[in-house]
Amino acid sequence: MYLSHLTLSNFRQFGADDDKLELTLSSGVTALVGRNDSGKSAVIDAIRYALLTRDQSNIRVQPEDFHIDASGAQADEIFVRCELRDLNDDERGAFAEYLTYDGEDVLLVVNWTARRRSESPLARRWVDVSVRSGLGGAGPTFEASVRELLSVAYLRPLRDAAREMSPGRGSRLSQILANVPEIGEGEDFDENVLSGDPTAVSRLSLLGLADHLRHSVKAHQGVRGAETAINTQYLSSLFTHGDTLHGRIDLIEGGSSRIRLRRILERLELGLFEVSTSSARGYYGLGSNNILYMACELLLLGREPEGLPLLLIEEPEAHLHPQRQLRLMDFLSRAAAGNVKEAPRAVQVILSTHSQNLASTIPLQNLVMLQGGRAYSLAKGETKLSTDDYRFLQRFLDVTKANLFFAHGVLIVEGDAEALLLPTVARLLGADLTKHGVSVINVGGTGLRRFSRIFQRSDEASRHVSVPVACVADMDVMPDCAPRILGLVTGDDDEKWESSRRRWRATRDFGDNEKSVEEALAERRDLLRASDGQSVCTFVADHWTLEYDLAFCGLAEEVYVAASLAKNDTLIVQEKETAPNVVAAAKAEYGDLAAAAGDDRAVLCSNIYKLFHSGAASKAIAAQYLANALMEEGEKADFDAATFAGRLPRYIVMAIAHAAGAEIPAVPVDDRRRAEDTNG
Amino acid sequence: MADPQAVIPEVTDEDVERICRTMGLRAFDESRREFVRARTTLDVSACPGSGKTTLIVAKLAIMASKWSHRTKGICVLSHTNVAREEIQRRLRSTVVGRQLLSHPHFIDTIHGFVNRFLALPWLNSKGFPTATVDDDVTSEYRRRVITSSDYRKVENYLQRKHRGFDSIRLADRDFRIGLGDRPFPAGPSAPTHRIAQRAVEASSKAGYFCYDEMFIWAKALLEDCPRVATLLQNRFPLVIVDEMQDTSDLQVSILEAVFPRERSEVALQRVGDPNQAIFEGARVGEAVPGGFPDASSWLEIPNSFRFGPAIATLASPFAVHAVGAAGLEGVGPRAVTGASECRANAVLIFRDAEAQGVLDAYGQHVLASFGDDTLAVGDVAAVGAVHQNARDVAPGSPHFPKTVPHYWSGYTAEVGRREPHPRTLIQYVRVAHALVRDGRDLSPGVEKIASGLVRLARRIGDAELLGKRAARHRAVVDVLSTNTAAASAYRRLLRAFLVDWEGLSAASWARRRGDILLVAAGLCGSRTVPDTTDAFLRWDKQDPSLAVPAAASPQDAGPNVYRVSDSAGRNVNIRLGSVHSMKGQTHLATLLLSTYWHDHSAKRMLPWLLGEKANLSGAGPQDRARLHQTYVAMTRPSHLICLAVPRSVLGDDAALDGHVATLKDRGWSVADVVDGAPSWYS
Repeated sequence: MYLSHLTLSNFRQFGADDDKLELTLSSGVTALVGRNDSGKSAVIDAIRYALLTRDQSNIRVQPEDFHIDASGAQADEIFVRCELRDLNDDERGAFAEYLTYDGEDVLLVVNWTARRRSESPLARRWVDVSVRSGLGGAGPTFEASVRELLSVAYLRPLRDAAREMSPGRGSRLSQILANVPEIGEGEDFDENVLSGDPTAVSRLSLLGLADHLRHSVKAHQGVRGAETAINTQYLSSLFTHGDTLHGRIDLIEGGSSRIRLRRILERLELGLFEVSTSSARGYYGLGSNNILYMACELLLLGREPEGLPLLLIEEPEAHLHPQRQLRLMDFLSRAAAGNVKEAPRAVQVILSTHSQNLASTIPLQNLVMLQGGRAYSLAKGETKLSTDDYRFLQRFLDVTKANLFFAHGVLIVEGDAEALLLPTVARLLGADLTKHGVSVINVGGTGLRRFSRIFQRSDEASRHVSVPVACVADMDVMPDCAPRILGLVTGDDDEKWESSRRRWRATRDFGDNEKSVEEALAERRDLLRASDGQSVCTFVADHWTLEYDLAFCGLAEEVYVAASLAKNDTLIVQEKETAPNVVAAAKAEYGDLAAAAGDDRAVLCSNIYKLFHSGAASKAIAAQYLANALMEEGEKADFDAATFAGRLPRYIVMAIAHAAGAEIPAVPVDDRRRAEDTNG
Repeated sequence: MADPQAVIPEVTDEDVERICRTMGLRAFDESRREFVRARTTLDVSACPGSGKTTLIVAKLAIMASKWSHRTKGICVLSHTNVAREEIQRRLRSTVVGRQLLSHPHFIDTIHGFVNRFLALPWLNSKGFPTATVDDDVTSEYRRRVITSSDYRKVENYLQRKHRGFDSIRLADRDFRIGLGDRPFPAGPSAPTHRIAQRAVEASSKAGYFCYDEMFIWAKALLEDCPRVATLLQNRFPLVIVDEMQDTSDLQVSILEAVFPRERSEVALQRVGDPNQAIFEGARVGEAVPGGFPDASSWLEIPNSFRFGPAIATLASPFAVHAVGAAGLEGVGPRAVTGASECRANAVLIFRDAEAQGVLDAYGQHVLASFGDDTLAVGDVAAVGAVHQNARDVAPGSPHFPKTVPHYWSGYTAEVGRREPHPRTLIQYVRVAHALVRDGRDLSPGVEKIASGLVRLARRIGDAELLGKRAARHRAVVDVLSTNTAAASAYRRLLRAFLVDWEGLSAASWARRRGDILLVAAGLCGSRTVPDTTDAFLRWDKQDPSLAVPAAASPQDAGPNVYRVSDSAGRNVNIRLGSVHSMKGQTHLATLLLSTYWHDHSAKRMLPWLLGEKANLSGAGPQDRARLHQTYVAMTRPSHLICLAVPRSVLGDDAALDGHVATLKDRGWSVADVVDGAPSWYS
């Protein structure tokens, strides 16, 4: 049995009707990821309200739980609906009167409703809570003992695990132990059996052991002596004749066996010690205690014969260093699969996190992104990701890329150069990526589409992810002059032009006249944008690559200088050469190149690009130098963002504008719209 | 799923002794112990007065104290609400017992079980609105959704067929209709059929159903989802069915579908007395459904605490299924009345045309046999198998005396319905009075009055605000929370009826009318008091069918009570009724009246009375029914059983002498009724 679907309506940030939250869950681990205030805690709390928690902590509906809509009006009724599926026959039996029969399927629906009766939470019965079963809540109200069976284990964030594991009245450890099925096993204490067979002690139950101790304490000489002394020397001389009162020294006992067992358990403590020395090392950190605490809860959930095996964990990363987080996730997934020895029952785990570390470890299909008051499950079939994409992303979606789950906007780029340069360009354009919460995801060559598909829902009709995703792609078509400049061919008649093995493309490959080339290139561009849609938009270079297009558009000298610096980077680092010298030389060389190229910008830029093609200059290092140079330029008093934007390729500017959702001076809003329209 | 024995706790002798001590019971004999211990499928026939309910409660109490499962429970099903409430009431008085009143256990009627676990989940799953299950409310709804001329058309038509609009029932899951036990008399294209069809469909869509219609939906679920039986078997490893002999075929068919006896996963323990199976209507004389008791796993409790050996010996031959190895045993009577067993069990022979004299003679005999102290607490009854009026049969007719009223013309057959059923608001108030009298908890009375007001609201207007909440009082309070005038009117009514016990009279009822209508209007969301002439509001005099006999003291002179005085001025009140109405009761003394159904019952039973036949002895269906009735009647009294036998059935004088001798040999005292007094044969 597991929680398969959740609906929240009018609860905190989630509204009603079209704005309610619908969330489908899988039977294993589900991680809710999202920014602050995206509703992760609301989801967890709604489950706690509707299903209750095992720690018996009392949570009460608060006035602020009632949703306030855009007009400022507060809702009067919160509705939480939990759908439980995959009930086995025992569970179906246990909940028989509450079941809903859906064809072959049998499900259990919990409808939790809180109705506000009065404005003031101080009023008596200010809120009416009802918990009913069946479709539309038309089934019978759940009895208290049934709700107990449905209650979930809940680990709150930033909990004080050390305190929860320490002894005391109602300690969590005692509750957990009381629920371990074998806790009552063992024999009762029987003085006669024990006196004949000392090994019988090992067969005693906990209560038997307590009785044994009590018996021994009473038989202890010192205790007996004191008791006799009180009776014979004091009481007898104080009481008058005929009084038959007698003093007795004893351990505090009494109550039913259940109460006595609880008291024994409450005296237990779960502590940590070093295995090598077997000594308690004093106080252990919150993290270690947290692990211990979770281990306990999982043990209990996995072993209990009945009830709903659901564990809610808020921010399990609290207090854990990254490696332990990974171990924890690994353990949770095994527990969810029922693969933990000693605890064979599969446990459903729902956790909330804003740890990139965790988000990158959990299989993508187990993630649920919370965004803009919606939940977007990344389960198979819910997104446009293919099975192959899931496999790919499982390998390549690492910690640094996992911040895309928490971003306001995403820029997906193909290489280091873009990753290094775009933040600087964006800042100069007045659209600081950090400020706008835009993550730059560098996929390093391949997989651009695979990442963007994370944000595309398979159901076009459903509400789309609101996070704008901009993919930045190279056009990868050289001008016709470039192959010769780069030494790929010797001339226009080189037979390499006809080779089927060549990996490059030039303009002339696309047609023999200007019109047909134009059309064919447009077609290629469309192909690169083919999987755009929803919030995903691909921005394709006008010509070839980032470097070429930057140079072509208006930064030719800057690119050439940066490339030269990159080429000499090792010498500069080794201080065998100085940057100013390189810059000066590069500027001179650039002048020559420009003069030689005359009006043919394609020839000039191909020559500039040659520096990268020969492998002499690293694109990444050049990008760094270029970024620095642009930053310097930006600090100049006469820097003007609009003018600067004019020197940039339009696709770069539009990609930044899309991802940041920001106004950029050089790109009027309708221009951007037009770009998006043609894209999507 | 495995053996129910793994789940059902073991009962030790120590447990049995402890429960007997706690409940103040005499020690259980072996057959009672065996039932309490039983963890397998078993049929138990428990003779009258064997303390069956006590035994079930004792078993349940032991089970409850040792029950450790949170998802599996015990299911206890009975035939009537009275029996269910009795078990629940007795369990409620202890902490352990209370555990059985909630999940995972289930104690209810078979109807209740069918609704909760089968029919209602199915209806909900198919998107029907919350169901209201009530014959009256549903019939009323059906009447309201069609025009009154359509209603009259159908009603008149069905009246001619000796039925009425209220007898229309859903017949299958495809919304075809019928009259319950037979098809709708007109074809599907007939206008009356079409109107009725429309009414039933509309009420079903709105979620209104009659009790028996729920079996249709239960069967629908079992058809669509056969695994539901398996899961219920998982839920209830132990099922105890009480009053098995009274279950109907419909109930048994569902029980067998859900808890088949051959399934070893469930210990199905059916408790009842096959000898007390008496039915009204079509099933007269048929065997107990479900093959109860099944001789292959059969336990018998043949000894009764109710009466002593004398009554046991006299009643034993009338048991269709021979009781015990040595016949029915009597180990009573219990010392309730303090009187010892009366030895003067009598056959009272009366001249056919002078039936009323029998009651007088019986009264004299009772007065002579018991002191006033005993009569003050003991119930004296006279019962007959037939009790409907038969005015066409007069003294002198060969069929006379045919029915109970022929023994006393003051008798009304409507008396003695087991579950009072109000038809007007004033009747709701009277039932509420009956429920709370003797200083009992007020809440059932409050609930009753609220139900009456809700029903009124539904009649006069649109009471959608009320929803279908089962807790009527709560619903009324909630709906009226914003309507101060109506809310205080409601409080005034409750106070007048239940706290101040305002005397009910036509005048006082008229004074309350304003408040009543104010509340009803409020429940319909209106603040204007409507002017209505609804018959539901009319004043009527005490309706005898609403008397609650059990709550009245034996010496109350209520309806259907015949009073006899002796020469010393002592009185005895004889309560008259049908055998059926007296099921489950214990009397001090019982007189079985001979009635006529195809033949005089005394005549047909004579061979058994004389010892010529015993038990079933090849009796046909009619005699089988008479045997059941005779057995039930003869096992009611703790102290004295009397039979009224018309002179004509005993033959000529010579035959009479022989019969009298035989009867005396068998332990009867025999008397002729002369001028309303017994004249004993020495």
